[in-house]
Amino acid sequence: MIKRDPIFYSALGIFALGLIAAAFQQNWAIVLLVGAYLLRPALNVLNLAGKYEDERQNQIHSRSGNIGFLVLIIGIVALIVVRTSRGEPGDELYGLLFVGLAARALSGLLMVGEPRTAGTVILISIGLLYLLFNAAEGLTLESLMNSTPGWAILILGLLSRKFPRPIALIVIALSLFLFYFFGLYKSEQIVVTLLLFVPLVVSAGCLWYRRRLDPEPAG
Amino acid sequence: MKTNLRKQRFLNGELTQQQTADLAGVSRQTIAAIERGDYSPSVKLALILAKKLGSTVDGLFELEESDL
Repeated sequence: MIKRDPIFYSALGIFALGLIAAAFQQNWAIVLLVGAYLLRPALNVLNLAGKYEDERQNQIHSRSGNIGFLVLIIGIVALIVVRTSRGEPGDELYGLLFVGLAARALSGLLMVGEPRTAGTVILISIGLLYLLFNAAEGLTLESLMNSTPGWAILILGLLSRKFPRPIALIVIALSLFLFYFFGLYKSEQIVVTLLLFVPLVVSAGCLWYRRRLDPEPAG
Repeated sequence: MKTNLRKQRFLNGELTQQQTADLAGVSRQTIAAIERGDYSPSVKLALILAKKLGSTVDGLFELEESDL
């Protein structure tokens, strides 16, 4: 049953605009068409639907979203296998796969509601994954040099338990350095930005955030 | 979980599912799903329904032996 409320009419308007854009063969028409479809679940998940929110509908959106995510991940993995078997590169698909999994892990950590613990876990995870991906390229002098940011992030993660706020400042400085050093502002670096820069900034924010109920670090 | 929501609706001037949904700020489908026993409402919604229908959460919902 279609719920006719302002969100429905907004989605309908966006969909109509998408159709017009598609008729004029505009590439961004797909953004509007998908946006119209995802408007209600997006507003619900961001707690912006206000009085138009319905808890059962939220539960349905959440469950169907999980199924959709699972199917998407399986689809991407299947495509990677097919492409690899043909000897074609699958870099973009790998990027998409890891961005999806990282977004899920990151949002899950934040939803636990213990920001400082989340900040530490995010930093340690980024450090370990950075080292893992670097090790996969083989043990050469170049890869050892390239692994330095990974070690730095891992050590910062371990230290962040004791010194959350000073580490938050260092992580912000490191993020900005990486942002310019790796040219993360360039569009072709979007995957690295999403997998490295964004989680680092989020972890710094988590470590800086102080809740009254958060246990203070000893010493 | 056993629900007396339908009974309480009728005791409140024979409210329709839609009217009850409007009172509680949810969809008619949610009220229908609660009445069918397909959906267990949140504590907040249970309290809202109880208040709007002049009842209590205990009066609206009961645990059955199989729930324990």
